[in-house]
Amino acid sequence: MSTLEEKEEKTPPLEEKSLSLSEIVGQDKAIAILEQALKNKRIPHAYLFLGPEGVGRETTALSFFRRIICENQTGCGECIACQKFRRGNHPDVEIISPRGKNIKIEQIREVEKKLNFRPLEAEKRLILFTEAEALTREAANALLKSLEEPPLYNLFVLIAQSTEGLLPTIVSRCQIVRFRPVLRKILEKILVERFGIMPEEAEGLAVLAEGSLGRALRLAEKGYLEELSRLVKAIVSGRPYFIISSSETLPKLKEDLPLFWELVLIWLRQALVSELGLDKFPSLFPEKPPKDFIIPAMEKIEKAFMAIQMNLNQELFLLDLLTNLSELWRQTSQAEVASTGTGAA
Amino acid sequence: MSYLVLARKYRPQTFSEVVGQEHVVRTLKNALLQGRLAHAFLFSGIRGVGKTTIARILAKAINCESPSQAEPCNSCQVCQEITSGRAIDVQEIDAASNRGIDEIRELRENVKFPPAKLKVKFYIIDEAHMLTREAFNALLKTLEEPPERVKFVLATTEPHKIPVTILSRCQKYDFRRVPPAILVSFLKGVCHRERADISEEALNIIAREAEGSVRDALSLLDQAISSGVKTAADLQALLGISRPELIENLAKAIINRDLATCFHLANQAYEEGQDLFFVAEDLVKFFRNLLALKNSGGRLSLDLPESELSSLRSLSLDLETEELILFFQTLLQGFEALRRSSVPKLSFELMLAKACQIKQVVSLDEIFAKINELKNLSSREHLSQKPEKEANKPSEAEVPATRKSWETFIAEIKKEKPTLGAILETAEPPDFSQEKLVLNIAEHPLLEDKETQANLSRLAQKFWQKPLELNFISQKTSFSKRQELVERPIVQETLKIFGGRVAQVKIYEKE
Repeated sequence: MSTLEEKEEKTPPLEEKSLSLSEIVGQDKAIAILEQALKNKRIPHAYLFLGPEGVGRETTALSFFRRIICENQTGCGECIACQKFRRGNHPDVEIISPRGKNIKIEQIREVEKKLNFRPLEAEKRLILFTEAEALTREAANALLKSLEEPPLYNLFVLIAQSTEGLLPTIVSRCQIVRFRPVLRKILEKILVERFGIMPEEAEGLAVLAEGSLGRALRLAEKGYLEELSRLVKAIVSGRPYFIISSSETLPKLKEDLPLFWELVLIWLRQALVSELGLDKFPSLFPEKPPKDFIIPAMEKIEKAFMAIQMNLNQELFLLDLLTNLSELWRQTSQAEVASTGTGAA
Repeated sequence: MSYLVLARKYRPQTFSEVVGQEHVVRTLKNALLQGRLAHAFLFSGIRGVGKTTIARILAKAINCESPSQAEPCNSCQVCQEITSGRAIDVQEIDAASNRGIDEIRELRENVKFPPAKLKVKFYIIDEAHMLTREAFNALLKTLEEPPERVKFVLATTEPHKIPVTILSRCQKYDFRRVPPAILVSFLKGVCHRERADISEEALNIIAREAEGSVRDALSLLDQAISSGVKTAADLQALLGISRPELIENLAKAIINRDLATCFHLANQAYEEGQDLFFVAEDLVKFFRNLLALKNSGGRLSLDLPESELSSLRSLSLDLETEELILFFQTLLQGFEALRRSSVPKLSFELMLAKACQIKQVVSLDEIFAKINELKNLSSREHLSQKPEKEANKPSEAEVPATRKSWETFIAEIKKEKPTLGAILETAEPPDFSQEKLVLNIAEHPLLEDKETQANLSRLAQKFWQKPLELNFISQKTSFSKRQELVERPIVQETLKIFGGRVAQVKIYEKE
């Protein structure tokens, strides 16, 4: 069992994803809000779950709904409704996730057709949008009327990272529940206890995860740390061979490229933080960069995200970026040596 | 189990229940009473201010069997049918889902038939901005001259997306944001009816967060009631709103260039589940307020509680304007990057790190003061026994003080007589060490004027306490010198190569 929401790869069976509300870790506040609503019988027709990726928003939505439909009102997992739900064939659950890149207007129209019919078995129907930011403008607008005044046996749950990417008219129709990043300590514990990861590794992963269990697992799964150390090697050495080979291999990460750049940013950030004496530099990471390298490098790397969005030729972009970075490294590390040298003298 | 959210429960059913929007309500009521109701309306405004609501009330008010003072009675069969959405003659169309030309064609077909039961057939086209261009155009003719007993209301949050040809056929009503004070008193009423006990301070926060939208306010209130919020602090925790102290502490840490504290606070906010986007926005606003306060000299009234104002004031005292502008600029840039970022926390930290890198700024005025001080010091040591009182304008060290004041002298003249100034500019500055200032200058008709000469002299007296005399250099000599220069072979050669002509000859005296 996991609190993990695995993004889009395959829709994992619901069995894996729904827990009883009390089993979800690190989201006490959000759960408390939902429990209160249940207790007071004030469940609105539309929720908006906000929070970073991989902290259990989707799991919570599913678990919350399981709690509603459960015949024992607990999310027991034993009754017929719960069992159907766990097997993923409960007829009153609509999960809408992006087709291709976006959630399209046709998908909304399909849902709207169902809205006016009563749910087949449960008291309510769950309509879950796993990535509300992926709604196209047309789709989002088409949703507005239904989202405002649906028949009351419908429960909308929209999941998003921030209100930034949503229409204000959508946000205004929902009740917002905020999810927070999972604390590092808790993450470490879950990684060790539930996933059997070695404690030292778990410690490093928890740093990289930025409060998201989903990320920690994805990072563990793929060998990004090796990729990072190869990149750092290219930057440090400044040798054209390394730079060119790095800029040829990195674009192959494709949709995981942003995740990789996040990792690079975290490497720099942790260096800065350890420089300030706030936290130690994780031993998992490659070489620690010179102090003056960090902030300018972060600024440069931020552009990489834009380059991905704008669909630039990644190889050319990377060639330029890496060359710049290695030049920056050379200058800053020289300056550092010089200053410590004079300091000693 | 079915619970109706407050925004739906308290949807106004009569004109008098509508919160804010008096200008719209009054106009519509008068139009109803006088029987001067247009056949097409366009309601525009931000989300949740009453566009759809007023459209529905209007539908009822027209069709009601026993209206009183243009208000629907809400008790007759017609009103009830419309309220519950059963009336076939009141059609509410979701233009965002049915946005194509086919839907509009269907609508045109139906418009032709007289109302089945009611007095007037009423079409509410909601989210009208999402209609396609073709759909809009197909609607034009119908909208201009609809059959009798048909009325249209188009409602939209984005009026700029509506074609002008549609706009010109509708009566346009702009719905306003509801002011916080009105919202608060409305929320109080709702709280009372819901038997919820929420402090006024918390309601103020809701009103502020709602940004003038009644629906937003009610959604927030709903949430507050269902999670048992009583005080402002509860609410802040619930909504993840950044607390003023946090912003102030962050700002102080930035001003002290204390990156460690910045990171610590950022992390704390993040772990509390606050939206860093809003924290960043508040931080930018904080510096904006500081800047405003610093430069307004207390004249500006900021809409802030007194406790925050006083701490802002004390902070603004220690900071230079230039420094504040730099902070403001850096943070605003960081904020822009944050908006687009997919890794908000990292971007937020970068924004803080950049702000902390800004070097201590010394104001220009201070630098000038320092320079002046140095200058006075050196002039006392070296040259003159009498320091130049008159040179109260700051000047760079390289330029002799007199030359500088000569320039300001000309600038002064230029203000009144630009031509005269330009002529004087051609001359070398006079020798200031002499008792009398003698200016060697080429003849010019303007300068021959006695009055001008007197004026110049007076001004010079004011500047240097010395009279100014003009010594005219014969136009001829200077003219011939210029001629000679133009005729030089090198000049001629240059002209030939570039195919140009001599526009002006200026003679620079060598030292």
